[in-house]
Amino acid sequence: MVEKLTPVICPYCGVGCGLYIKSVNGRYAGIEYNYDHPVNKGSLCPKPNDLSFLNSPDRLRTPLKRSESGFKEISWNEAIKEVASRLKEVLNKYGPNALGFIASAKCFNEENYLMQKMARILGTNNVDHCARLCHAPTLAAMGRVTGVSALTASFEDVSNSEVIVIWGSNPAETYPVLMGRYILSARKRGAKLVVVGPARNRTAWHADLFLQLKPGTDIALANALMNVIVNEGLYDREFVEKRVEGFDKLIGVISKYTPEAVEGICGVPSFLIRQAAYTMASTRRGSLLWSMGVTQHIVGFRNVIALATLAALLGWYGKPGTCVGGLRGQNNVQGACDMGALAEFLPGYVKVTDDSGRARIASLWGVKELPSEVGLTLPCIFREAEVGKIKALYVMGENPVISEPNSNHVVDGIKKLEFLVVQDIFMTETARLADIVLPAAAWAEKEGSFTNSERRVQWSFRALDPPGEARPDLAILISIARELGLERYFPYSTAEEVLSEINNVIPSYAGITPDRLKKVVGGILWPCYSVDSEGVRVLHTEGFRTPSGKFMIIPVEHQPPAELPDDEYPLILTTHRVVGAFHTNTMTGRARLVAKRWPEAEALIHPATARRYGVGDGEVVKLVTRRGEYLVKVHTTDDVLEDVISVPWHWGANVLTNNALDPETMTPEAKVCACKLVKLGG
Amino acid sequence: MAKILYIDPKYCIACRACEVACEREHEGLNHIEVYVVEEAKASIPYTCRHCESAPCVAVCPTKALYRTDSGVFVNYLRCIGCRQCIVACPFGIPKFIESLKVVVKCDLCRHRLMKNYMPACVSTCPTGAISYVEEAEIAKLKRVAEVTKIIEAIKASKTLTSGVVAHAH
Repeated sequence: MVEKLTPVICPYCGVGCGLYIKSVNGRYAGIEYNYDHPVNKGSLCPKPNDLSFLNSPDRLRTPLKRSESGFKEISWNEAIKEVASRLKEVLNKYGPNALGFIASAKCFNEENYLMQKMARILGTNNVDHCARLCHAPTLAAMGRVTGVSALTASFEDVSNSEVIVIWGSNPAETYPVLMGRYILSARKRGAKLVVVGPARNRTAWHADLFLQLKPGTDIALANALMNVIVNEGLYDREFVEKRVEGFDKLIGVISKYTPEAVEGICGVPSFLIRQAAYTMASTRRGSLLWSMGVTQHIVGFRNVIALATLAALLGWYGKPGTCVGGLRGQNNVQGACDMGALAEFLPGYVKVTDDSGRARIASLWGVKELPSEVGLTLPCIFREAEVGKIKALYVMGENPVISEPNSNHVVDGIKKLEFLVVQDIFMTETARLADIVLPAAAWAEKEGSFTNSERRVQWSFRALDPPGEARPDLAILISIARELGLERYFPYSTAEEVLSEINNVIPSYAGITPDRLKKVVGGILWPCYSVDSEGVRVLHTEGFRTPSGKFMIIPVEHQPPAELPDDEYPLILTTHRVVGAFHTNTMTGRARLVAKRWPEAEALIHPATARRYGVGDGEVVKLVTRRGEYLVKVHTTDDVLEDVISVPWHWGANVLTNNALDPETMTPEAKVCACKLVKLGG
Repeated sequence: MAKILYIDPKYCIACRACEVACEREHEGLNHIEVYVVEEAKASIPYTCRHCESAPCVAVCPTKALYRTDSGVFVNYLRCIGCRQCIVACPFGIPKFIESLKVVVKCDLCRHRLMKNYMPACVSTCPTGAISYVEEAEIAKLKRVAEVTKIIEAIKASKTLTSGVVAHAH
């Protein structure tokens, strides 16, 4: 028995921790800490401490085909032929825009790149992935105001900040290594931590200042902070004069958002708003980070604009010790976006409507033209399926039946499809509805690159053998593409070959070659325009990448959420995550040491609200919204406000949430809706 | 000077990574547990203190519990399951395992230390709330941290002179 250690990147959140997988004869046998990894120096949150889901008997081992008596096993040959012929059938009958592709923030850059390439060469931009549910507003808004759709600096800069603002995020549970190694270490050195959000979460437990706002009132609060910062002359005058445009327009809008006026909207006492404004403005070296609490709103795009602008007034851009942006929830959601697995972007954030950019990529791919019409986004793919416009859907490593808000409606859409193929490591809730299920190798059973939240591109090596006949997503995509007759566009057999093409197609990845990546522990931060470049940690040091080279201020106004409490649904429902469950729980739910500690959902309810409904700790209640109902255990805590209920969504609570969309980015408003609580058993 | 397992609940975020890591290293038994005190908005990882003058060692009739320079350990072959250590321990640490008829507790991941790896809970802790360090080192780190804060405060109030920095070092 020889134990082998192979360096991999953690398959969970966007922090991008390194670790070793311990294997015996190609099978998972545990983990070891990678003390030399620059991101985490060995430390890991609970999730990667038990990756035994890799050995789960539930792993998919052979391709499956739906039959009247349930799924039956078929050969790879038959499966590939079937998928290709069914996709072709739909393509020929209804045209390319009847096809939909869902890529995966869990798959490597190379695989996402191939999936979007397949969709676009077939003639459709209907390719998207779960970034739509998380940071599409961040991408779009940061792209608009700064010119780059990514975090402005690195985690190291967060730890060198003097003030850290965490808004609508709970890194203590969702990015524990970022919380510990960077945020708390900054605080140890005297940095101030300001936390803004509807729940006094575990990040807030460590805060110097905690602003508990009502869900969906972020713009009002951000404008009030800016109001104080401008009126009291606390802003960075030099930065604003030299590097910001549109400051005058901003003053007109924020003037009415006095702390006193906003107190009534968001519920944060005006003195606390002032105190927070003074704390933030005490330094020009600060960081402002956010997550789903900011983006999953019908004003998600505008929320991000408001926060980015707040940071601009403070001069928190373009120097070490500043870092502004969204914290990515999956290990490769940044990468999947960079690769163009989005309905509106080709690889490297080239808009599909940009004629010259599109022509450049078309010529690199050797095709005459690429579709120029913006494709359907993730929620729209299901809406269009419901009305019969999307006929065939190819899902790689995502589980929209659990992850999408108003998920009952996703199932309705899927049922109308003529063909659904799902490629995954487990029989997920979505795979159960498929016509063909393809068994994929898990990340540790294949190799490729991931891009973390900091834009750090890292190579993850192959540590294990896949179970049964499971194959890497890359190999499956290539086989299907070849069967579709696209052989000349898919002349690869390895991830390295695909990354070499990416080096040519995406300028900011030009220097991130497979050879370099495999050698450097901790990888390279993009932009990296040549093989001599070491990558860039801090963006915007000279100018912003906007047309004017300046930070572009767009004033935004407060707008209430799409659905507010009324007599019938008198409570506000929001969602959160817990540290020991990841997304739809397909992996963590099968890792015994993790799953036993986080076995089920607990709804957080204020003790006064619970008393009013006569429910106690541990009691199971029914939560009802206009879209669905959900049974859940009660956990009473004053961490949440009265009349606000917060439910973790890993176990299926998205049957309740709202899919009203942010008009700018089509991101659904999962973070706030109206609900009622029903006590069970009379 | 021997290293000790030093736990500072100030930095604990209740992620329970230490529990999972410990359980993985000890065949399904975790010797560290995180207690959340919601009223205090705080949490604390709790495990054997490896006392210098350990009551569990003192009461053990078979010398199954013993102390070395590095900590307190159990020799399972000698344990008769009398549970005297459970009575004696002021922290409620030793656990009697029904199926094995012996008492178990934190062993500082001796199997890891032998390979020059830190104990699992220390290695995994994302916040540094759990460390394995020399006592003198901890005191020094605290002093440095406090002095750094004072210097930062002075810098912030812009009254810093180069003399102050030199002196503080």
